[in-house]
Amino acid sequence: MSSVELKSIVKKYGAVTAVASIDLSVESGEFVTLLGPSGCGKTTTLRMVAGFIRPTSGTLSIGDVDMTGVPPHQRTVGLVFQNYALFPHMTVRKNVEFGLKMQKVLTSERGPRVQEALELVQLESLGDRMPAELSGGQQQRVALARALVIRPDVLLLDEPFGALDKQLRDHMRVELRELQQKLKISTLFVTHDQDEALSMSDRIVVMSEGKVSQVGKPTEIYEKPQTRFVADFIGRSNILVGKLENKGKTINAEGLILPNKENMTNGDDGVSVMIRPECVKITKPDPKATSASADVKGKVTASIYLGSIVQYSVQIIDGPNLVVTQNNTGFEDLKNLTVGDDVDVSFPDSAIYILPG
Amino acid sequence: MSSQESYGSRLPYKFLVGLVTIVILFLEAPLIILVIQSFTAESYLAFPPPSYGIRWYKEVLTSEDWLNSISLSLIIAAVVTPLSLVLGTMAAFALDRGPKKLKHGLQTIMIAPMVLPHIVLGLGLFKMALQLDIDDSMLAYIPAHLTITIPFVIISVGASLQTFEVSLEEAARSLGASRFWAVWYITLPIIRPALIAGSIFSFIISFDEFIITFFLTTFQRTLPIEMFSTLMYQVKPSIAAVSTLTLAVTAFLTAMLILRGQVTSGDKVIK
Ligand SMILES: Nc1ncnc2c1ncn2[C@@H]1O[C@H](COP(=O)(O)OP(=O)(O)OP(=O)(O)O)[C@@H](O)[C@H]1O
Ligand SMILES: [Mg+2]
Repeated sequence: MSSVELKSIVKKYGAVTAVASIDLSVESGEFVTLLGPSGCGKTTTLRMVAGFIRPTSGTLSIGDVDMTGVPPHQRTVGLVFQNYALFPHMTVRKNVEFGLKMQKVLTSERGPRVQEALELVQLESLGDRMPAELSGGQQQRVALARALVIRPDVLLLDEPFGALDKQLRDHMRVELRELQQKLKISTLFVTHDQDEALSMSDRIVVMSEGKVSQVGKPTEIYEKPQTRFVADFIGRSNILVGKLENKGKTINAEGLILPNKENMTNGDDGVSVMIRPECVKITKPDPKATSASADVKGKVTASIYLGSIVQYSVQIIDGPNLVVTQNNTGFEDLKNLTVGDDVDVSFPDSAIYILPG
Repeated sequence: MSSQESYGSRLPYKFLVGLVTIVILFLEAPLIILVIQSFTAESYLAFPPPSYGIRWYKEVLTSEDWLNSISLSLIIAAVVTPLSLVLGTMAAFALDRGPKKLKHGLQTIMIAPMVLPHIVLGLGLFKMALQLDIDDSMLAYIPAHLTITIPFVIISVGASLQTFEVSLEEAARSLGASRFWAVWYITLPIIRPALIAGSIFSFIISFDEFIITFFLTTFQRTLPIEMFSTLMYQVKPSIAAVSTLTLAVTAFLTAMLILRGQVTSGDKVIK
């Protein structure tokens, strides 16, 4: 049974197409993330699931019941906003109780359920506070408790951690994922933060300009992007324009000769090759050793210090410019690498990924 | 530089304080004199009164004419205030949530009666009331007062809706509240200060209204009209007593208006 299913959903505002035909499903107990750049239609999609926006065409079902034209209050969805949207004139307890009151749950039943929800987010001691007396993280937890207390068919979150600082965000990420797995609640999560998407999701839906670019597990999205857009958007990447040579045995990628390990062909001879910066290794030339897989030489043209990693720009001799990141381990003599240095460049064959299409 | 400026501004500052004091005295002096005069025990107005007493208050509160006009004004204001609040709030919601294109034009039309010359408005309403044969009755006074009180509600409620976070209503709706209940439980309590302000404005304006009502009355007299016609014949201390009573009601409501703001922002912290 799928909790949420969108079939050919379109949303147009006059001449503007916010969502151009989306198919999407969230299976029972699954954590699905909508990931994409600003303006790609994530919020619009989420708000259509919540019922605040009526799709121009297409059908939407929640818990296998058609909900396309059903108003928000008749859907059982738990919605968490980026700005928390806590009712400022009610205590934390009243905030959480509100949904139960609206759903006409008996007064005697409400108390224990509110308590249970507050315990879930570890706020049982703050029930009598007003929202204004809570920190950002605590407010976000109240919002979560308020959404969960009605036992929704699906939990919807629109960039819920956007207003939190980095440390708290990382913490809430873990907490939300643990909670979601404990309750086995179907979740649709919207973010433009790829770290968030990669670390929390069962599946990621990458969106671009109102369309789905790719759907897959985090590993598939990162390691096997199906389109150039996904490869570019998720993580850092070097994308090279290649040409099949040598009867398809090798690829000439902007001057860099690479093995065509899977004998990929693409109709004509043109292919796009992706190499992740962290898969490339650069070392200072060692005159004694002979380099193993690829004896590629280059020159450092820029270096950016990022703390745990250092990002280099390396101009390959007679080849492309590669972005390379190296862990700042302290072991290697990378610290001595400066702009203008000659380097040996190597990467395993497995780092070479040919983009389909 | 800046310290020099503040030294330099010392004199103008003192001058300003003096000026403000004079202006306040000038504005309030007639009122203060009137209040003092109202407590005279004589049968004529004099300042300062040779002797004091509450003779004229007794007179006013036992005179049938005064009591009739006071109660007529109170009844009108009491009917106008809730109607004005409900209609004005509904209009403010419509303007805030309705199509943006229409907002500007509609708002101007709805607020116009507030700024139009009341004498023109009164004349128009008089003609209309005559045609409908409702002049000199509640049926005329109440709609007439509403035309000038509703704009105040629209403005005060509209301003607070503008800063109201709509996602709060959406949160309520996602939790199972229909649009109506979301507004009822969430929006209205949050904009309560604006609702109170709108009501008090409506009450004061209706209670105090003279020009338009003057057109619509023949035999009936609201308090301002009774005061006016009494003045036409004689200047008795009873006028001062009535004025002081009116002033007290208005001042009380205005004080509520100012205090309510503090009370509402206060109980958020305390509770
Ligand atoms: N009410 C509206 N009228 C017209 N266009 C709209 C409306 N709402 C959204 N859009 C357009 O639809 C597109 C998708 O908007 P949406 O808010 O869904 O983006 P998003 O993916 O959530 O972006 P962000 O990451 O910035 O929140 C945008 O180009 C936006 O300008
Ligand atoms: Mg958005």
